[in-house]
Amino acid sequence: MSDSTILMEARQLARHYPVSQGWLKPKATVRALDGVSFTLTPGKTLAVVGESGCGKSTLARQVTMIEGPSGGELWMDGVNVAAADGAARKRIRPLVQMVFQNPYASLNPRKKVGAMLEEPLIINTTLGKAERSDRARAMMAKVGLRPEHYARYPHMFSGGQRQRIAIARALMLDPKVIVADEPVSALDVSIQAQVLNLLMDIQDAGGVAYLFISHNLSVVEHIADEVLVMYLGKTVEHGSRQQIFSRPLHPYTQALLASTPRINPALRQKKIILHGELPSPLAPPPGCAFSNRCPHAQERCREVAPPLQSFDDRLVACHRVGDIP
Amino acid sequence: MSLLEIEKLHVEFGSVRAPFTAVDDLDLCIEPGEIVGIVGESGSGKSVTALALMGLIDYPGRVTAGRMAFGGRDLLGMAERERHGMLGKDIAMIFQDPMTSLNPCFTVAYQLMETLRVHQGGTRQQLREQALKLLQQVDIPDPQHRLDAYPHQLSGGMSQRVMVAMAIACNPRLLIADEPTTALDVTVQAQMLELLLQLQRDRGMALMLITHDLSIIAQTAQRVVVMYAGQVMESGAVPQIFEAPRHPYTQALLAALPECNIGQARLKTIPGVVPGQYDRPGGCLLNPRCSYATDRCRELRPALSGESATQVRCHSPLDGAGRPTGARQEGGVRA
Repeated sequence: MSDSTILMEARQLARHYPVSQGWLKPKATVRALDGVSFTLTPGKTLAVVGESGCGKSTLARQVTMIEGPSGGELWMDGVNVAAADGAARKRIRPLVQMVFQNPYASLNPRKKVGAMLEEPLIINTTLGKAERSDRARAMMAKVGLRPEHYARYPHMFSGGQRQRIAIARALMLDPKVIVADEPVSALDVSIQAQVLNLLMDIQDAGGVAYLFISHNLSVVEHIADEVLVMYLGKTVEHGSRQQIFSRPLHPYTQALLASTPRINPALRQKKIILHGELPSPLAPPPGCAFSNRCPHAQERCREVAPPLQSFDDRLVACHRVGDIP
Repeated sequence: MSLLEIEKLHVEFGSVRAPFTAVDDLDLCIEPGEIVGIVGESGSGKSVTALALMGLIDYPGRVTAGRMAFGGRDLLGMAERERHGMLGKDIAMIFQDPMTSLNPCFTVAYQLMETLRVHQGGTRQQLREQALKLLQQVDIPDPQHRLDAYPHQLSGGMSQRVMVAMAIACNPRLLIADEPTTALDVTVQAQMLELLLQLQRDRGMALMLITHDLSIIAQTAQRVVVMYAGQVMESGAVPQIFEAPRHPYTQALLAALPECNIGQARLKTIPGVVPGQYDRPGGCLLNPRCSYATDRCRELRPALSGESATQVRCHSPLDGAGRPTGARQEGGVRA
């Protein structure tokens, strides 16, 4: 870690899972995450975009240290988490917290809001009962919950309020990085706007970094500073928001943007309908993983996997970058 | 004559003494071959409307309507048996979650053939051939092989295609799609919408598209009905309603989209949530969340006004510039 402003750095992070193919058959490997690199800086948001099965959630599991990566390095606070011992990991873990997709499933229905918010403090700090309660109440005020909600159960709340509780819980230990896995996709438009505003307010006030996982590009366009587009475990395009949204270079990014429905007819693009779905990660196509769905694929794409290379101030993994409009 | 005519549809749940009105006084007409979008937040009664139309509201739910007719035939007056004959044949429905709406115990072929067997009959061989043709029509790759697949062997997009194949099996004249793409990825969503539109064009069937995503409606529907807490708030033709919404709720929904806030630090929000069973306000149902609410809105529930094509339920609907008009509307109902 040379630069002190970098909170977290992933270098060629990989996670491969062995899968059983059946009795007496050799085990196959799923390359769920295959060499992804990025950095997180305070007060900035990195959005990870891609279809289901592209490895977004596996990435979140590595970053939150729920699982150890099977390759690559993950640097945080001067420690390579991938190779660190238990004590070092225990010290790092509270610095990274997570907000899950579905607030109806991520809150324990048998616990009151107050108990849920205090649990991280009981485990990770030595604060007394009164102090814990004070902190929980202060956090509730910060995320827009009323004091009387302290002794209520999750079923008494609406989806938007539940997501506020989930966010409050993630903030209790004052983390440096918050991993938000599709935090607004289960919410209505109006509630989605409230939660996005809350996330941005928290970032402005505390300088927390977000790893924001989403498949909704209009949300990403609003909240992200940097965008990383993934396809089948690999980065296909990585650049600033302005670059990616004003001029996407990888055919997959172009297709994603063109598939996003728009209200304003002026923003609508010529539809690029991708045929088929994500190939099986057990048997990815040789060459570029996107070649079987890509409208611009050539012979070379089907044979050689394109490297992630720098082009026009961003990283793109495509043989034909620059050729295609 | 309209394909579907619904007048004064009421759906109530709960006890008779203190009922909860899920759908209140809903009028809806769908012409043959028309695409109508129904939009609103969760809890606004969109799905209940569709279920009531399909006759899928069970006791203790109560459905009453001034008139509910399909193709000129009264749905409420006809015998149970006759109505069952129409459902799945003339009116078909696709549900939100494709993974849970297929039966996991039976193959794709069995489930497709069941629909055909019930409504038209035929030999096993004929039905299987028809099922294969249906899978081809919904662009499922390798359909011969997929016929004998179980739902767990299919991806989300593929399951939804099977659902569409089942729905169009008997050439329905009206297809109800309840959040058909909410559980899918954007790329698969685009494929799915393209497929629905293509089928709608080829077969000339009417499509009732229920969704909470305004941008999907903007791209596909010809007419839109905006619902809130069981009531129609606004209805009208598609480009107009998005360019110049007349109801404050439509305006606020549009303003909350990230797309409409490009370059701004904060998104505009609608404070609060859709009122539930116990917290329905007096007066206009929207008044606690409406930025233009006046004393009149808090006391008097507005009635739906305007011709059948463009209606709005507001005391002071917005003008072309998006500001409320001062003009007093007649016909309010005291709440």
